[in-house]
Amino acid sequence: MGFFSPWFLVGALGIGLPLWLHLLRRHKTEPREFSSLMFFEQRQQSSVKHRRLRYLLLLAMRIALLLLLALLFARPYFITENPQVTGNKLRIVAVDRSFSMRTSGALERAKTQAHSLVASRGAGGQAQVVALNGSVEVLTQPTSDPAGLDAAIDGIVPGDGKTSYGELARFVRTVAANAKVPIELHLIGDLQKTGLPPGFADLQLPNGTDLQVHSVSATETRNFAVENVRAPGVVTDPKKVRFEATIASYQTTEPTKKTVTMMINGQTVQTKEVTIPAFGRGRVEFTGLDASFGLNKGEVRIDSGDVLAADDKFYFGFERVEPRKVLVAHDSRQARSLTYLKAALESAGDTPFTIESMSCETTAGVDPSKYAFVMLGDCGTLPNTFEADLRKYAQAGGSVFVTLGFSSASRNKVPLTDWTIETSRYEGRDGERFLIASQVDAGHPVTRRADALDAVRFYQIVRFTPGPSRTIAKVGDGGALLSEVTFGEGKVMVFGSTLDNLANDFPLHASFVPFVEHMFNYMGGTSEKPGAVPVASSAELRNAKSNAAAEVIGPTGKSELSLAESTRARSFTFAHEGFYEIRRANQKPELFAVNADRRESDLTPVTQDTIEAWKRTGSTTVSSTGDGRLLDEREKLYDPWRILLFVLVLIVAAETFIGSRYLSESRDSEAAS
Amino acid sequence: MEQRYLSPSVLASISGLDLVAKTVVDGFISGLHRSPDFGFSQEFAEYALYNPGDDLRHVDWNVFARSERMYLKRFQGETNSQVTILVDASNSMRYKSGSLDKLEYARFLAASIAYLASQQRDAIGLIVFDDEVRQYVPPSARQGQMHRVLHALEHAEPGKRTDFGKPFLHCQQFLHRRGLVVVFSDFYEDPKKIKDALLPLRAKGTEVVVFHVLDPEEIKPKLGEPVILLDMETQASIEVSPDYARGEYTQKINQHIADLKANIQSGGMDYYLAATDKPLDAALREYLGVRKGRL
Repeated sequence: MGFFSPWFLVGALGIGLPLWLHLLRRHKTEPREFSSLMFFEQRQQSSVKHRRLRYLLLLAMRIALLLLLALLFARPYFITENPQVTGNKLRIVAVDRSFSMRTSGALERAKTQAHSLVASRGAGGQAQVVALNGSVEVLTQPTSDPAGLDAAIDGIVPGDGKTSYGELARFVRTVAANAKVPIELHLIGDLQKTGLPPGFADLQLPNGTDLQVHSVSATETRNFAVENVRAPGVVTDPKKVRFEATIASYQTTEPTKKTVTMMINGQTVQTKEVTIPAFGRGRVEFTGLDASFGLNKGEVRIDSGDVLAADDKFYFGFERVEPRKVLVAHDSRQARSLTYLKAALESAGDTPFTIESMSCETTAGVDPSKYAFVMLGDCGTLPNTFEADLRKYAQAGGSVFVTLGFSSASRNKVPLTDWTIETSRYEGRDGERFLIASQVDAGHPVTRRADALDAVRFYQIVRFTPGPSRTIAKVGDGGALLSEVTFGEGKVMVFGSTLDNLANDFPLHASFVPFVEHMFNYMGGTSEKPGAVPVASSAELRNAKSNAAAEVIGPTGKSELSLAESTRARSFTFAHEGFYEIRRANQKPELFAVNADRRESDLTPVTQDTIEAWKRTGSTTVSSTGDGRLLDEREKLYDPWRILLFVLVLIVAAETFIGSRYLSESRDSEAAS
Repeated sequence: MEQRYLSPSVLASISGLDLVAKTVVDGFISGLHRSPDFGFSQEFAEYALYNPGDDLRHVDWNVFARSERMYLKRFQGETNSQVTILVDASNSMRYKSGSLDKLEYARFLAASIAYLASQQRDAIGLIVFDDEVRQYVPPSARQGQMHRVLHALEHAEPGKRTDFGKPFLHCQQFLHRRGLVVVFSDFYEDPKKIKDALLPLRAKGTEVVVFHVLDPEEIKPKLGEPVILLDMETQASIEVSPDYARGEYTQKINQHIADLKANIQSGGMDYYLAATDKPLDAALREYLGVRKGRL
């Protein structure tokens, strides 16, 4: 027993007050003289004793009350046995089967260790087997059946996921909250440092959890890996495309030369040498490649000869397509925007678009459906037939990009959307009076770069009142600059200025080229899918309205979806490395190259200090006692203040009752006298 | 000194309440011996209402002149009485709950009675006793006797325990003539023993008047809480609860008073309970009533 605030026990000296009142003060009372005791009898002392006893009871209650008050302020505590530690324990055996466990023999050693832990859990002891592979995979429920536990361990195979000790701690917290038994957590794995969560607090284990760590990592942690390959998802001319591979080295002490091989569709197309600095990265570029039209499966390999061979290759995929035409209808008097557009598109590199231009007045009879999308550049007038065809085109899923300038300001309405054009505001350039863009939606594919419209001076803005639409950018005075509206199955985007350097100086800014590139990709429906995605990322199979079936062909060449999933699943998560082909209804197949998280390649183990600190999160039931002593995990602090308070209330009530009864009796006797 | 015991208020109270006391105040008693109209050798006994046929010579015309009522004066043969006053000065008589203890109250009464007796030319004597006779003033009607009695009363100090045996034995030896014995005591003794002690006096033809002097607290104790009571004579102590004092004790003391009164009166003696909270005149009135009837 101890006290958090022992100094308050001095208050117990207060019991002297009732003692003085009841005993000392009473003893001071001198006997009263009486003429004769002839008519008094000795036997009547019993009644006095009875009264005295009542006084003593009152005295005892008052003393107890004061003592309890002092005790409550002193906050006593008891150190008891921690039932969460000393009771029957649940042994959780967590086997790491992440990508890094593909090192030679690591998983086998882990499984052997797991078997021995299951066997040594004691008669009737319950155990649960889980695996770590990105998330925590529950392989068994808590059970005492050794056969089930051993079977679960035997069934563990290497995965391509990433270790996450934070996920494991979260799982244990959930189990502890439900099971309410002490937990003995055995973590078997290579104890990679990269498995630690960003915040140490995520590793918090429930009180009373005994963490035992069993390392099965190889003694050799030096490793080389193909960390990344930068490749576009869509290619029109592979010879112009540059593929860049990054080779990383871990736990190396000196620069190392490695041979890097590029393979496309199983054929080696290029081999290069690269020197990788110690604990650093080397980059290799592959250009002038050739590839067939359609989906192509690429792979970059190194010959490392290290403990983890699984990360010596990196998959990537791309689709070679024919360039698609974009119709740019422009004002016949002003073709500067066309020039800037072509220049920007040329600068963007291998874009799958070519521009076909014509004046707005000559578009009659042109079929918009032959184009990836149509751009109306400051068209003052449009042939009615073309505008009608354009509406049908957009309704059917086509995209139209409209810019408004001096000529279109003469119209009352924006083409297609029929939004009202209020006025064309012109700010003279000489007076340096201009507007700048504000409130730019950085989440939109076109303005994804936060600085897309930064510092662009807009001298001429055509004011329009957008209907129900998504405003992507506004100018400083709150007017709409760039708005997008869904038009049937397609979309229309309206830009309140032109893409030349008359109404604004946008083409002179560096952000113009990416803006045009993103705009073309977005309007043209070309996804900017990267060449490779990591394991555990997802791909959308269908939107909410679509009920069309989708198919996912996995790395093994078999369908990854059941029949029900292929008609209902909205997305698909890539669980393994390799190439996945997603086939959606009425769409071209899409290729996904999936690679394991390359953080798994860093085999640097967690330091012992970190492990010890992690263990302590499960044993620190109480920080310290009143005298600052840290409690052992088998000890539990019990603070009885609630009970003391309850007893205090009872005593106060009893003291009040007895005291008032005594007082009333005294009054009665005086009244009777 | 006389003023202390016979305060004018006391005497005024006596003269205004009782015809005999009024006679005393008016100096009637002194004139009793000298007036030939009313005859010598005769002692005024009492007034009686006039009834038709009574001798008109005995009508007190002075009274008739004042009150327009006719009273007859009756006389007894002159027999100078010997009044002996016995005052208990034991320690228990020191008890008081108010401003006056029992002994002082007894002194006042004794002095008043002595004065009245002296006014009637009676021989007065005094015995102060506890378990022994502490002071003795032989009965006498000489001049200055009153002063001696009062002096002895003044110097009567509380002594030891009460014992009625020895003092009353002394009385029997001292009292050779018939007379009046007035006893002041709190009588904390068995009533039978008291009666036995007093009866020999009565057997000699002496009139005995007993004043049972008690403090009101002794008759009805007021205890708010249990107390330790200390016997003033024996120094014995006992713890007493208010319940007991209220119940059994009161019952016992009342029974004692009743027993004492019955015993005294059965012996042909007079008993008067003189509580110290009662005015002195009430006690004197009682005495005079007794005196009137007996003498």
